[in-house]
Amino acid sequence: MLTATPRFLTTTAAALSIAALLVGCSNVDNTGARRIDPKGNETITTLDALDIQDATDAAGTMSESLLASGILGRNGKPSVIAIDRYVNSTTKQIDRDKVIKKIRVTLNKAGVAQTMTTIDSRGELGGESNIATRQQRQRNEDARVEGFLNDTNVNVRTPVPDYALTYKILEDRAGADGGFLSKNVKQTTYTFQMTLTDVNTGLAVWEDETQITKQGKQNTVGW
Amino acid sequence: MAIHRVRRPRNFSLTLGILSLSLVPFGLTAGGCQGVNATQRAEPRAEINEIDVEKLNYDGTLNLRAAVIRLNERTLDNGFLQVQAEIRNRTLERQVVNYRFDWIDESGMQVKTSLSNWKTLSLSAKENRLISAVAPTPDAVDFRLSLVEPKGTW
Repeated sequence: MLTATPRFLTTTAAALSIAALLVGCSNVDNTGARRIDPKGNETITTLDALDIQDATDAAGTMSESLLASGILGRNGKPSVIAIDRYVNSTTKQIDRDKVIKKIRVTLNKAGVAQTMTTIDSRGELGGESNIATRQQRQRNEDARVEGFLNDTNVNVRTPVPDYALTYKILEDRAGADGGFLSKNVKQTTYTFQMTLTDVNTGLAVWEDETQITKQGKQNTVGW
Repeated sequence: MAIHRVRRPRNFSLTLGILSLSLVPFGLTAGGCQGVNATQRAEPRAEINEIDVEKLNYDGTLNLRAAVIRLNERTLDNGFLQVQAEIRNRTLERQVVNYRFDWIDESGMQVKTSLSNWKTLSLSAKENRLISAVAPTPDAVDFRLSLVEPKGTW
């Protein structure tokens, strides 16, 4: 039989343990809105969507692979890349730039690549920068007029990139309804595939793939 | 902090002992002690450029579960630093850890990059796993590797 003092101690210890389990190391209240670090591990993890941490992770892996390959920025000069076809084979609308922009920023800051913003994914003049595209069109038109007036053959040539980056996202879903612990467990895998093609040769000079798999029963805060 | 020794009644210790013993098999099965048996060359041919490290272990519990046991580096042809770390799961249970590399330039300033983000690593019992990272710029000369337990285990 427990004496009074040990009983008090055990009760206190049990209460403290339960409190510690409930509170954990976290000293924040999840009920009120607050700003969190988007690069930290307090962000919400969903089961059926591409979260910001997933996009950052995929972009980081691909960027590292590109940097390690040493293909871009040879001879100390940044390579010129253009963003080619983007295929989203998932069930959700995912903006192309959710991943691609992060890769572009990383490569640009690394000094190994610059992205052409006056060419669209079909290789036509046009793209992100309206002003730069307009200027390029104007230069092309001026060259044509000059050629016509001088009766010379002017070969108007729109600047071409060194490399084209194609990108695809795939999604696989699975579910398990097994034993007590695995009842209603869902799993989603996002596969990111990228290819860097040498525009002059048509050869894929770099290719890589990375996957992000999430498993659970419901969305959670933190990961 | 003072530590006092408290004499516990015999019955209490006995109850606690029985309770602990009864929980052992549950812990082993629920935790899933799926170990890894690995085989490698007895005399490795790789010439490893190992790094002397300074460990700042603020979370002793995490260090008992998973820890960095070796770090090595190389400089790529394009001047980018590549670092590789070997992480060991020290327990008989699966451990999940998040890790992140931060990069520092010659003047000791952090190189801000989207490459410094948390990644998740799942290790089987007693498993050793290699992870690697490439510096975001050739200016990055130093790094810091951080490990943290996933939020669910806090």
